[in-house]
Amino acid sequence: MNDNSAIVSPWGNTVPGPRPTAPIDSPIQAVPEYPLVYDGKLGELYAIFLRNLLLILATGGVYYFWGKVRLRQYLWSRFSFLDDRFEFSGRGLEMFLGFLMVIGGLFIWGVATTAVELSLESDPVLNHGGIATITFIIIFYLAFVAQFSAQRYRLTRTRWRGIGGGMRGSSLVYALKACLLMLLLPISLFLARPYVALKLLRHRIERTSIGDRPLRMDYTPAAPLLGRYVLCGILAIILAGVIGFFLVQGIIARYAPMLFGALGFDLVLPIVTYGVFYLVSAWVMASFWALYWRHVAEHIRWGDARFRVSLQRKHFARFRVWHMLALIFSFGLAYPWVVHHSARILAANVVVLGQVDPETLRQTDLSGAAIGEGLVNAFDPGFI
Amino acid sequence: MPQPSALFFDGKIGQRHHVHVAVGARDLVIMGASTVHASWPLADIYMAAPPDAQAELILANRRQPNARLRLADPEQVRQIELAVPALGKVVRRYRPWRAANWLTGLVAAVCGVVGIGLALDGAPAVLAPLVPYQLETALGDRVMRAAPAHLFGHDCSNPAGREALDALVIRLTEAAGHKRPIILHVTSSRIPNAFAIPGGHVVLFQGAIDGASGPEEVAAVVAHEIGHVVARHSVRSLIRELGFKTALTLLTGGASGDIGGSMADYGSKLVSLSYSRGAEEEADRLGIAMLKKAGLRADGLSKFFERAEKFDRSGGSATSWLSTHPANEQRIAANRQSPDGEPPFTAAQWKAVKEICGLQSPRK
Repeated sequence: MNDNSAIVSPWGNTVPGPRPTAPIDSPIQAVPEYPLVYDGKLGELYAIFLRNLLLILATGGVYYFWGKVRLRQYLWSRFSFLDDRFEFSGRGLEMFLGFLMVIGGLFIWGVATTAVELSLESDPVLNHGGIATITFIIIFYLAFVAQFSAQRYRLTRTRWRGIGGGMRGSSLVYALKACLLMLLLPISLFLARPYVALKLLRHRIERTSIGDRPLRMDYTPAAPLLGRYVLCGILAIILAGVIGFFLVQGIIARYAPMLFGALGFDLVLPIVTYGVFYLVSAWVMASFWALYWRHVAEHIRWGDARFRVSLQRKHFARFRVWHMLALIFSFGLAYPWVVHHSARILAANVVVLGQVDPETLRQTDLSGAAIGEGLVNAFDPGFI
Repeated sequence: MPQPSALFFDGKIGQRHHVHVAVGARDLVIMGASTVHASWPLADIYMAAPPDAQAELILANRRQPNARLRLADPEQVRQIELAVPALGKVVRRYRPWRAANWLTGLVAAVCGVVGIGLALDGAPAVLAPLVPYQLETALGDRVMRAAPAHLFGHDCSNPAGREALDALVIRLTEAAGHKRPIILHVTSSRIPNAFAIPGGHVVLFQGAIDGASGPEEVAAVVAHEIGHVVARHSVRSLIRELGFKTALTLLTGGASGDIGGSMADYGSKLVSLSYSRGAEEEADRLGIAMLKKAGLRADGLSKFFERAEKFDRSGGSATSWLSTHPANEQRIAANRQSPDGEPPFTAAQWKAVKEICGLQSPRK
């Protein structure tokens, strides 16, 4: 799961912004506040979702991309700011082509490596391991490429008052930087996690424009986050360990083989173990991520405007744990509810402060990414 | 001059223009207090966002892709819907579906799922002949090279035993009308097991020879495995798993992730499990036909299953060979044959086959 993907926002993950510690203007002058408004209806979301589901099944999956556009068009248009609605202008065809490109690339890579593997005379186990390692590194790298290009795609396909957004810079450079920063994690025993997250977020924010007006992120120290991070981390390890040991090894290891036969050990046990670890640590780490986004928001500027994010621990616990459980146990049928609920939380907790001045906001000259979000769909970059 | 009833954004700047809209025969004219902002040909107008419950419309036009016109007056919306027929259709499409549409969708969805299922079921048999044989050979060679010695044991190559088995393989291959070479490997593992590997390799464990009640049992097991080779079952099951994974990727829109990936593995295991049952039955059938055509005794297969059944019941380890195969009782009944026909080996040959891995006494 991505850091930000739980937050459904018209502007991808760039909107959750800062809460100023100190008033921006003089204390006497009131700072104008402009809320983000969401007025979507759960019933309408379900109508779109179920209709998409039927068409996806009827077309053997191909409709997925068109369905996704339809859902986004609805969702985007239900967010408004300063009484004007957002708009998603992406196309199903471009997403489908993007997906085909990624799948085609992976297929060619798979065929090529298999051919190389078969032609090598040395130890087959060693060959396989070597090629698998190279493939892993490439996919790791491409996941960051996808993160950057997906954000660019969303920005270029989002409009407000006819004005679009965009991103400067190269996704390849971003991914290289991200891979190098990721090396810090094992070296620092993961203590550098907040620093790395901030550094990467800042890289993306600093290259983002809404209209001709760029977003800015001031230097954002990681130190204020470190205490909470370490505390949450230790707690997560202890809790996940204790619960994992007693619940998974004690109870599920005993009953999974009875319920699922031999597959119980091979498949059900690892899935449940991973699931429990994920949910417990996500629940504990929610406190850190809430602090992280409130902290980050204080340092982002858009022209003369700033942001205030008031997301709390409970909100991230909902995004990462309760929504996830709802999706699993409803076999995905809770999806519209999850989207709706997330949108409401987001709208209720993000405020733009200061001078927005849309009358002088000009159209962006950043051209859009042409290949859609296929990369993200194929790799689903997630490190939590 | 009528009151402004709409908002216009020119696509260059985020400024709101309060405008009045006039619908002409060919154009939609957007007028400000003192100036005409734009004139949109009706044919180029489309809806930029789905209308909400108040039926507020946000329109765009293909010639000025960034400009937007926002209309809230229901009377005006109706007027424009009438003037731009394509638009009316779009607006209706966004309204909740009628029952008939849902029903059509449901039927189409069922057809789609059934269609994918049939395609997945039938495609491997159609596609397998298209896979170049060299690819299959390369894959099989690699598997054989990587074969773990601690599982397979060492290669058994007692010349007399090899000669007898090779003669049997040639006789069966000819009876099956199979044009490509079949390479039989005998290894010293004591597990009663045999399997076919892509590229015409058949591996026979010593354990399958050890406990055999007679030579016809070994011949039947070899014939069964040759049946797998002839029908190219290994390629078919590879295609099937690939197809299943691709279909799943499409259905989930490529959502992978750890849980999704595990579910895909789980599903493809189930698919290959149910598929291999059908393949086993086909190999049984082909094996017996092969034996009969070669003029050999064909009653060995059911004897082998009787022994496998005993092995199971005596609490022997459930090997993978046994678990992917149809229930033994069923196969004993289905493959019961008369003991007519030549024995596959002479007494001397049978002795040599039993000693193919050396002279150690076979364990029961």
